[in-house]
Amino acid sequence: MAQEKRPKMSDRLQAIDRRWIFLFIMLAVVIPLAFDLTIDEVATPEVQAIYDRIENLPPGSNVLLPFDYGPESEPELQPMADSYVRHLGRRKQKLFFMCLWPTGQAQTLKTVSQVLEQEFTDYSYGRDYVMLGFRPGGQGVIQVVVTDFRTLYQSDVEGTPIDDIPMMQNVKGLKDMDLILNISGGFPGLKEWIQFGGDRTGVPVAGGVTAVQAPLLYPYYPGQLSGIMGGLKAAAEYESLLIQGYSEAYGTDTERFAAIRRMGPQTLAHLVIILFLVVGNVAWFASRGSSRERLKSLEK
Amino acid sequence: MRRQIPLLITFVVGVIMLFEAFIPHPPFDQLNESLSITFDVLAAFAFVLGGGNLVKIHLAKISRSEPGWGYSAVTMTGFFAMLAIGLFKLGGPSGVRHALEAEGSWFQAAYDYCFLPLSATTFSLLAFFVASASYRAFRAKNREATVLLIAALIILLGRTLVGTALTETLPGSLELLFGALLATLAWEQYRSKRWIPLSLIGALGAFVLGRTLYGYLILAGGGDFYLLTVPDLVNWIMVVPQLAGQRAIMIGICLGIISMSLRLILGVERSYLGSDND
Repeated sequence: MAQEKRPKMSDRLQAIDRRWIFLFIMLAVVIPLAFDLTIDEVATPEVQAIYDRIENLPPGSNVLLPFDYGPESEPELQPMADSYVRHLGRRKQKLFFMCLWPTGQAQTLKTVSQVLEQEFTDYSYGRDYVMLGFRPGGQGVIQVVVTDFRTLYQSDVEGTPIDDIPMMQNVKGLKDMDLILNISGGFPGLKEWIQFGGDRTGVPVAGGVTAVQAPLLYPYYPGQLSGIMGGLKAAAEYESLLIQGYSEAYGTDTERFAAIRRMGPQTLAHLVIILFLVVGNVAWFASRGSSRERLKSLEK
Repeated sequence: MRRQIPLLITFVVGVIMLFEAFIPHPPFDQLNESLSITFDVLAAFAFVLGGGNLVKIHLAKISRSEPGWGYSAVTMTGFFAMLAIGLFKLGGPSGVRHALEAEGSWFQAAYDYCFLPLSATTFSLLAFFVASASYRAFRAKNREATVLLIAALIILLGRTLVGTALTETLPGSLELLFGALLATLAWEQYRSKRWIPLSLIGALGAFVLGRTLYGYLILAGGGDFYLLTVPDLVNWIMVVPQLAGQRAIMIGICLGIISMSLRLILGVERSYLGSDND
């Protein structure tokens, strides 16, 4: 009985069981988490621009924070939301939270309860921050609030009439904001805030999006978009800037900075993917070469 | 009349919105706001329509015991449970004026302990499938795929600190890599006896390698010389070729939207009205 020829290494690599890939990715994520591998990032100009924009705002400026994302993009975007609020809190700005996504309200509450209420005990609801909540309509909501918030927001999330909220007394529409700082996980999001909010009012717009969305927004930077943060890496860069800028408050405490901690698993997972890409291509070239040789020998 | 009235409404609303973009003054800006509010009200009704449609489809599937009806049953259980929790504000302060997400509300608990982990888990699975799919499909099969593969590798490397570390510890490594690539290409041209491409590639390669060697001499002498780094290369890919591609796509889409909008406003495009038999 003829012995069956064992497949070549390159062919075996090409047909590798995908569960091996899953295993390597799992290890790449779990190991850095287990060993608490943290990585400090160097800020790119797009991230630095947002940091500088907030630094240069005079204290008491009105900053609109539309949180347009849900739990599926929380690992990437929640660290951005927390960092913005931390930075704005340090600069004593007035915060106006709203959302165009139904899930945005729960994400807002998370940041407010875990960051604002814990770290900025001097911040008072109605005087320093307000949660306007969700309204359906996507970009239609932006078009309406350009002239007047009260048309769509008669009350805040607690049901308090808008006119009874002290910090809303001098605010009519989007034009009364000094900065729009959006965090977006898709549509409607940062692009709509640029097109229907920033461009119509002249209020500067900046924000953070998921890594896959970022390339779509680069055409707006730096003209219509003051700064852009794409994905976890940008969030980690912003956290590094905060740690450097407010070292007296944060020192070497990286525990509260989720993006810096999550960059370890992301870095290793990227390296594993790079490795697989290289191995996959080498195996493909090798098997292509051997099949050509086989073809030539058959022709002979 | 069933066709003329919707066409007239589309024309009038379209023209108002168009004028408002160029004349942001009364009465156009007020009309724009009123129309936007109407849109928001209609958008709120879309939630009811969407919910109704979901119930219709899944209940039909369950009643006919179609394959996978169990999943429909789970969907319906989740849908009606969340609807009841939200409508009656179970667990939290009742009344129209209190937030759904108030402390202790079942709605917030369901969001935190069911919806959030389920959404995050589903999304996280993407990492595994992306890794598996890229291993199998991302091959340098032709020139375009090779360019895409190299760009993807650079971006991936640049998104990690390894990219920065690589060019910091080995300055000029990218130039040397590029030089090696050019040398390989030049060798292929030499073997094919294509002299014009060979001279062009050779000149470029000589320039890259010469500049790198000159940089090393300057750096060895304690001077300052710019050598390419992975983060700089990533930034260049993002703001030059990527941006050019995105802009081209965006301009194309915008031209398409303008043409489609004009067709709708002028009543040329009527497919949204449905057929005459509807």
